[in-house]
Formats: sequence, structure tokens, C-alpha cells
Amino acid sequence: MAEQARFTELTEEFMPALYSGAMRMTRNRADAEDLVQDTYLKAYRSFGTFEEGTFLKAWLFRILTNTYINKYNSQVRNLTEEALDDLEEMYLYRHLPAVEASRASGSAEDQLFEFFTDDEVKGALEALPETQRIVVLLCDVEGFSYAEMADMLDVPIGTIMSRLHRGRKQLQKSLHDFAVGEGIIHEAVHV
Amino acid sequence: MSEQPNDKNPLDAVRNCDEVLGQLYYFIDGYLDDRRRTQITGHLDNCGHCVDVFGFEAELRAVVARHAYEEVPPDLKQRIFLALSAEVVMNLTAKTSPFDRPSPFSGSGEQR
Repeated sequence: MAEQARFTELTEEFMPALYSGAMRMTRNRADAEDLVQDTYLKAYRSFGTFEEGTFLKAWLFRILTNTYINKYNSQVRNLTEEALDDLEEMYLYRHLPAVEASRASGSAEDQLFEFFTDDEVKGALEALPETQRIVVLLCDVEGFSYAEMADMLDVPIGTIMSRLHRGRKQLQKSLHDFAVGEGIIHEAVHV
Repeated sequence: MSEQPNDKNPLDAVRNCDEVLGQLYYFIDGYLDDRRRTQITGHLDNCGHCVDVFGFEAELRAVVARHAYEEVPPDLKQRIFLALSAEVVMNLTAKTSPFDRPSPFSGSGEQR
């Protein structure tokens, strides 16, 4: 029993992160709950292999992503070159209205940021292709490094970086298109 | 060429905005070494445009991270604790410790 108490004490704080990650991966609550439960059981069963001093959150996310990949026959490890997109880097910034006065005061940006709510952000993340979605989630939401993600997903760092790049552009385009649709920003391009 | 003691070493100053913006994500992601970071911050000290772009991207990322979180359903927490307890009971019955099992990442695991 002591072992279970210790395991729970150490891992409980990561449950919101793991559940949020599972929701973005599976895109539905029932599967996300099962995935998190499977992750906790696997983690508990192999807690003896966890080395003290290593990053517990990374270890748990590694179990989560591997469980997801195996259970859902994920294409994350498929290294086939994905189609190139023609989106610009920093898509959202470049498509903000070029009104110098409001840009300088930052008010246009603040207004835009305040406009995005949970629904838009989650929707934009979940609209990403799976291979991009998972690295954007792991890096931009959870803050894992390129090396940690490469290790977790068992794909080369270069692949991680290119997926991250494309995922971020696509995410920004989704957020941009939503803001345009709602009349928050007007179509304009500047550099 | 005469030394200008108040100027930074030209090698350490990145003059070109495109070059700096090309490093933006590596910078924010913490992927650059100290020397490269110093070069970028040296440019940012003197370039309002690049500071604006870096600030925008960093804030956007914070906004995305903030809105991507879910509340854990209380019954899920309960379910997991019950499943872990059941695991403990099973282990007591089977008299094997879960702490001796192979890594969840290795396919076969070590043979003992």
C-alpha cells in the first residue's frame, strides 16, 4: 500500500496535463479518460524502472504518447515525407492589420489575444493533422524540448522540428481565419 | 581598421532582421547555445520590429497553452485510484511486486 500511496503522491499533480494531452490526442472524452487510466496503470506497473531524479512528467508523457500510438495505430512514427504547405512563417503576425498606431500600443494584439477562448484554441489544435498536433501539444503546451520529444516519439529531431514548424503555421492560420470570420481582424498582409 | 571599444564585436552582432526572425522559434524553444542567444538578444536590444515579433509569438504561445487545459473529471480521478487499488490487491494475491517488472517501453523486457 505504501508503494501505491507514494506513486499517487508523486504523479497526481500531472493528471491535468496528461488528461488535457489525451483530450487533444483522442479528441473525445471517453477515449481520453481510458487513455489516462491506461497510462497510470502502466506507469504504476513499471514505477520500479523510473529513475529518481529524472523528469517524472516526461516519463509519464512518454507512456501516454506510446500508449496512444499503439492503441490507435497512430501514424506518428511514419516518417514518409508529408506534403509541403505554402503558408508563411509567423502567419498570424503577418496577417494582422498594419495600423502602426494600434500596433505600437499593442492594443490590436491584446484585443486579438483576449478574443481567443478555450473553444477556439482547442478547436484549432484538434484540427491539426495528427503528426503535427502531437508535437505542437508536447512543445507549445507542455514545454518539452526537441530532444525530449524525439526520444518520446522515437523519431529524428529533424522530423520533430519540421512537424512543429508546419503545425504552428497551420494553427496560426486556423486562429487567423476564425478571427477574420468573426470580424476581429480584417484581411491584410504586411511583413 | 581601428578598434571601437564601445562597439560589440561585429561577429557577435546579427544585423539582419530576416536572419534573426529565422531563429525566432529556436530561440523561444530554448534550442540555441549561449553564443547564438547572445547574438540574437544583441540584435533585439536595438530593433523594435524584431522585439515586436518575438513578443507576439511568445504571448501567442502562452495564450494557446493557457486555453488548451482541461479540468480532470472528478470521476476519472476516482476511477484511476480504484484501478490502482485493484492492482495492489492483485499483486498481493500474486505475490509479485510491480516494481520488478520490465520497462513499459521495451518490447520484450529483460529476462530475469
